[in-house]
Amino acid sequence: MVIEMLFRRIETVELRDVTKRYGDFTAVDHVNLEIIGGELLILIGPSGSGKTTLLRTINRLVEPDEGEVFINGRNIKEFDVVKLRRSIGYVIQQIGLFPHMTVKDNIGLLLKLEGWSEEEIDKRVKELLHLVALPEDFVTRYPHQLSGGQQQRVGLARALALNPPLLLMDEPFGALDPILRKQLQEEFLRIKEVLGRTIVFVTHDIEEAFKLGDRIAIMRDGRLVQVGYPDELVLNPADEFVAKLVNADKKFKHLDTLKVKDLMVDVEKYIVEVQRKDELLQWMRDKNIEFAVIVEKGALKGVTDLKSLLKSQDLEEALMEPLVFSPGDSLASALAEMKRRNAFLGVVVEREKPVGILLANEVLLKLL
Amino acid sequence: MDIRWVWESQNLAQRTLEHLRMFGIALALSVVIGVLLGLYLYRRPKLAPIAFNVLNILETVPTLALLVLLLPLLGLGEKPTIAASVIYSILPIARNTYTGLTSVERSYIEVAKAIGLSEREVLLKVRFPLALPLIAAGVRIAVVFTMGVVTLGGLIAAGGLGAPIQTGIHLYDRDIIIVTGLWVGALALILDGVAALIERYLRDRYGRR
Repeated sequence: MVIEMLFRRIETVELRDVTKRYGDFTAVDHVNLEIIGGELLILIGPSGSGKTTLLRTINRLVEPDEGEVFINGRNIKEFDVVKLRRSIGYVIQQIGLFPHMTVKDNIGLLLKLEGWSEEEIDKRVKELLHLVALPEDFVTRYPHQLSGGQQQRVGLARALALNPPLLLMDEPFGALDPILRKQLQEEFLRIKEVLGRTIVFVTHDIEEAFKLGDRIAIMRDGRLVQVGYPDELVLNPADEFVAKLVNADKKFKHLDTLKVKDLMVDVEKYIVEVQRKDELLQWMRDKNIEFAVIVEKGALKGVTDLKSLLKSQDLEEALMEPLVFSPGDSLASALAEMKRRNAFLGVVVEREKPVGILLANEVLLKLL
Repeated sequence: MDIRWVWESQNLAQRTLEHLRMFGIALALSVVIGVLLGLYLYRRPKLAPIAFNVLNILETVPTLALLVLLLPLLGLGEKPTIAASVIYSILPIARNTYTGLTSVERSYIEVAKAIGLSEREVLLKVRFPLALPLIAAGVRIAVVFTMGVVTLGGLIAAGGLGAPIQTGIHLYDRDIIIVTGLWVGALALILDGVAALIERYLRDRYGRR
């Protein structure tokens, strides 16, 4: 079933001179901000800095007193507010799953209102549960029968039900304990890769910002202080406040904030598509390399090194299944995984294609 | 005490059916009017204090007086009895409906709006279901009220189980009074019990946070 969305994909979301006052208090003060289609933009700042208010102007939960919001160049006031909100997914900290509805009814609520048939809803709900890594038989459960983390996953699934091109997330992991938060952040990164949609994400946790964000917008007292990529913020903080927030003087204090893609090496040199053992041996000797990443039609098939290749009868026997990471994975957990499995390398894969290699020794050298 | 004799001579089976019929009609009307009034006041909250004040005043009129006041308008029998029951029962149902609708946690309403439910859909899919346990509690109070008023209807020739009690009083027949009285009491307990079960089910189903 095709749903009519106001926009199929996001080119830009533009906030122009947006101001919101509550009595004498100015929550958002003449903010100009452009969100680029496909990026995950973080809105960060202390509590009361106006980040949530600003986020809510995008789906008109908050109507600005001054200024306007444009999506793909069109003023959002032109749109029907219900349609606008159905085109924008929304996830909040308190989760807000409806307590009287099962997991299926929560996720499928909008689908039902959009007139989908029972079978279509069933199918979509199962798809979404799969995406957020929950078992299918959760459909009949009620929210109070789920843990906080599971509820948050259902909340995300509900936001994604109509496949909206834009997602607003207001501290979605804020209420979870630190370990669970990390786990969900990792999973969220994976889901984000799969979905590839535009996301505006509010947080007050700078580690979370660095971990998840493409660009980061820093707010204070209703004003936008600085917007930029993480390295820009670290290297050229606009003022003391930003410098302190991003901890500019201790760049690598948190290994956590580094991702696999930051320290992976080029894989091109090691990729080969071969069928036979002697072919591969010859190729490796020619290139003078110790190991190779074998692909089949571009997709990763396995890795092998000279030693095991020489010991085995044929190529199949010598192939090993490598540790696989995605570019957005946290470097720290990738390294920990490699250490645990006693692996000296991991293959970085994006959409099944190898895009880089993580070499434990190289990484350590780079960090020193 | 000859229960069987009372049952047959006073035609209690027939009287019970009459009684339950009046009770059913009165309660159904009360639920419909009460819930609709609650909904209406939720949409027009400015009217709510006035409306509830009026209903509160009506509630303080003694049942017997109300029945007498209704006589010139509706005559004798079932009609004034049902009307009086409804007048008493509207308040608990309307008040609980109104309170239930207005006291739904804000965050649920916010989320419902944020994900794109229209006002109507928020009311029907979120507010109303979450108010159901409280509405049911109001209906349960109404069950008890209605049972009482319908029994008093015997005084104004409405039939039902009030009639044999009247007979018993007129004839100074203790057996009739006790048997019928106990039977009415037992019926009231059973109906209240059923209402309690329904209320509990709704609370389990819609009330968990």
